[in-house]
Amino acid sequence: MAKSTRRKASGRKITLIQTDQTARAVAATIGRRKPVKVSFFVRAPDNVKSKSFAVAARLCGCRNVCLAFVDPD
Amino acid sequence: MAMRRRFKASYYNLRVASGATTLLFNGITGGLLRLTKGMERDLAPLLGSERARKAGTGYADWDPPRFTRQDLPAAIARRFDEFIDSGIFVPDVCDEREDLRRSYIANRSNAPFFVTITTTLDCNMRCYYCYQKEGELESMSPDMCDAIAAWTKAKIEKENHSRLYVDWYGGEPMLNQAVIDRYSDAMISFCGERHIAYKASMICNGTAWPPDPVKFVERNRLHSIQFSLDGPRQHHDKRRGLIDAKGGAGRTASFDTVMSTIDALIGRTKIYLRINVDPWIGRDCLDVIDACAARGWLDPDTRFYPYVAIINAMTEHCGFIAKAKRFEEFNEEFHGIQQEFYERLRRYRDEKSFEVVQYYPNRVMINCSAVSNNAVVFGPNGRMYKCGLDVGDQHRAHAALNLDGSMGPEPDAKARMLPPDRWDRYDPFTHARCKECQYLPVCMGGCPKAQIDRDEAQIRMQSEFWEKNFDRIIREYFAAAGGH
Repeated sequence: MAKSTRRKASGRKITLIQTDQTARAVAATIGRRKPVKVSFFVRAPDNVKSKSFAVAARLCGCRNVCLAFVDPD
Repeated sequence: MAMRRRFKASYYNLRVASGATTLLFNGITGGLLRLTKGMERDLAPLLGSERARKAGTGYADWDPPRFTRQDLPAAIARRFDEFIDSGIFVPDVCDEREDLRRSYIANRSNAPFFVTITTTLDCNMRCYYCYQKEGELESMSPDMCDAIAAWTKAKIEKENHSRLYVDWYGGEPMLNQAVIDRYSDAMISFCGERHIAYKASMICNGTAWPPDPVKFVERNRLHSIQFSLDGPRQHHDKRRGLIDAKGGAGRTASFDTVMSTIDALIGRTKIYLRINVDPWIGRDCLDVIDACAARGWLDPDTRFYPYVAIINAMTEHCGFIAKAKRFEEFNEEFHGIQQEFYERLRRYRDEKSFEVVQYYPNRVMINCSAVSNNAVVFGPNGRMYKCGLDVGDQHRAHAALNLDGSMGPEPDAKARMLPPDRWDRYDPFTHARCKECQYLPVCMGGCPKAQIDRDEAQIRMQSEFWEKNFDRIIREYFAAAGGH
């Protein structure tokens, strides 16, 4: 279990715990404080088999050249 | 005994360090994972060797270790299904590039029916960097508008399209509002009767709107609109002043007019604000964020998405930009400005905004509608193009629609120099560098026009963009998502 401490922009101190234990097991070790589970996914994967042209996989991927976003969503 | 399935790490995984955290990105799924220290340690031998960030090399040499599920450490085995869903691990027999190629071919056929209509080549501005050819500034006639509507209807019926997307384009499209109303009215009724989805978008400069912009948006079903500013007022008014329609000297400032148009439409449709940046605007573009925030445009649920774009040589008509040393030097500087822009935007917006403006490296289904089998751009005179940047260069048209619905005339000698099927033949998987590149799923060769025209400066810029900015963008996304 690795611990590190950060201060949020609001000034509030938070302790990050990196562990493979369950949230319940962690809660048992940190007294009154309530753990908040941080997701494994920062961004969930797209379903690559989906046939829809969704926001996450849009028609036009050219970022540097043309004027337009082709935005069929 | 059943054979145990073997797996390997995806070629399109990229590891990015962000402070004490390691992030693992996969280009096929766009998934981004946060690894614990233990997980990072356990995963390292499975992920294969770390690669440099170089574009255009690597696939042929990719040979990561093979393993079965039973070989995995407990912490990895527990999340095995999530690693598979994220594309981090793939079956060892999988040829990821071949899968990508098949999907790319299918996407080109299955892409939505997309009709871009240039209502006029005329514009009430004369931006110094304009990519369109000067000269005859044609406007679309009502008869040509009707011919295009009839062509669209026939195409929908023949090809059985279930959706129609229309993009209004110019010149300045709002200088010919009659055509927008006329075509939209015809097509919205047609689609409504047949239960076909209809959506429209527009790229405009925000200065030629009717007194009730909301009514215009609603009746023409404008789902999204892109406006442009050349940085804050002091720069914008210098470059994007309105010309005198009667040919008089001098320009009229337009910054306030654009801002008033956006004000009137905020929350009523999705709005992209393209903020053009050149070496002289530079970091001043950051002030636009504050101006937008002060007007409440960055409040939640406004569907307002600002982004910065570098002014560059998009066609030969503004080719002087590519030759100017100051612009070349600015490319590097722009990346830093872009970083600052999104850092400042984070005060107001979360990571999802980064995706809407295509800042996050999402998987690209098709790199441009120009290479879709179901997209066309009409010039005001009925010439048909694949790329909006070609409009007005008549020899670049691949076909032409006549008023009576027939096709023609035959291409002239200049037009015959350009193969009409050059867009269909474009294939990043045959490109020596693209097919090897670790950024292929999120780039697909970038701008196909640059590849077809062999615009080496533009192609180099695209490669350099990923090489120099990929890690930074992932870190910024992580920070915007509240990452620590």
